[in-house]
Amino acid sequence: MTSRSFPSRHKAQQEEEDAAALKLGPEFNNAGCLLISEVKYLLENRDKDAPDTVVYNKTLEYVKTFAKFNTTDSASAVREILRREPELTQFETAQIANLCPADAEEAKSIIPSLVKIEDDRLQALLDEIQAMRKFQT
Amino acid sequence: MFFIKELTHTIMLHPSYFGPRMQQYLESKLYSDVEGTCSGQFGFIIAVVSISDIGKGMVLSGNGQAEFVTRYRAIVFKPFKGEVVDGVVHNVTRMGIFAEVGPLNCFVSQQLLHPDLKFDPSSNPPSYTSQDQVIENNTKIRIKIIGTRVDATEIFAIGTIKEDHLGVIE
Repeated sequence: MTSRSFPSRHKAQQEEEDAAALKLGPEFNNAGCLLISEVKYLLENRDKDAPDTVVYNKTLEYVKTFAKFNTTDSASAVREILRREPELTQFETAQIANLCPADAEEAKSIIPSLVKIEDDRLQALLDEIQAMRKFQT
Repeated sequence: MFFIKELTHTIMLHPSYFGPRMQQYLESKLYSDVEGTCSGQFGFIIAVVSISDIGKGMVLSGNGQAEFVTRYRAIVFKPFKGEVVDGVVHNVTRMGIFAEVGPLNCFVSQQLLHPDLKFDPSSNPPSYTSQDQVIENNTKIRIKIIGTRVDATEIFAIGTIKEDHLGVIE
């Protein structure tokens, strides 16, 4: 009889978190996602002194390296573009803006949950973001 | 993925701090207590953005200390299985490569690299090379996280670059 309890416990473990299926766990399913560019802005414009922790310094270095949009205007413009597609979740919006895939096929490969959106519509959004990136000041 | 999240933290305050500068003391205590910490539930707490409520403070019977339940908003970083992230390589060994994704350490096993990438122990620093790619220290790579392990104070991740659109990025 004891062996019976194992499969169910195993299943519960497996269902926990999987970004590919948009399962982020109870704490983060409805949490607000931040773009790397927004994190950079928030960290650089703190009114307090920067804390001298390893985590903080590594993060600051990381967001400086990988921020795709260097002004708050362009970051919010990207959010505006992606808001036009109502099916996108917060997580997908942030992933698209952080990774900036060039075409729909690449986007669906690195963010598997995007399969729900047609290629043409996704491509139009991605093109617009690429153009934004190119012409940001 | 970075999130902005409302969290709570409980501060125990010794009676010697009760007084006019208690508020400032509570704030600086909150900052020093939570910033830079890591838990399995919330991931890395990178920075406090704002304090929504410092708490009323309740004197505990028995020892005279006051307990403040503070609510604050913070930037947190939590990696998820199946998420694709960019990282910077900081160590290359025969076993595989170690990359830093912000505060997170991510290991990519040599078996999860593209088969063309061969370890080159004679190069300095050590690197993985194929005909058209080189992975060495400070190379930027795109990784898919395939698993995370949570310690008391740190999160480790393992990743793969053996899929389409992953690997070295310009």
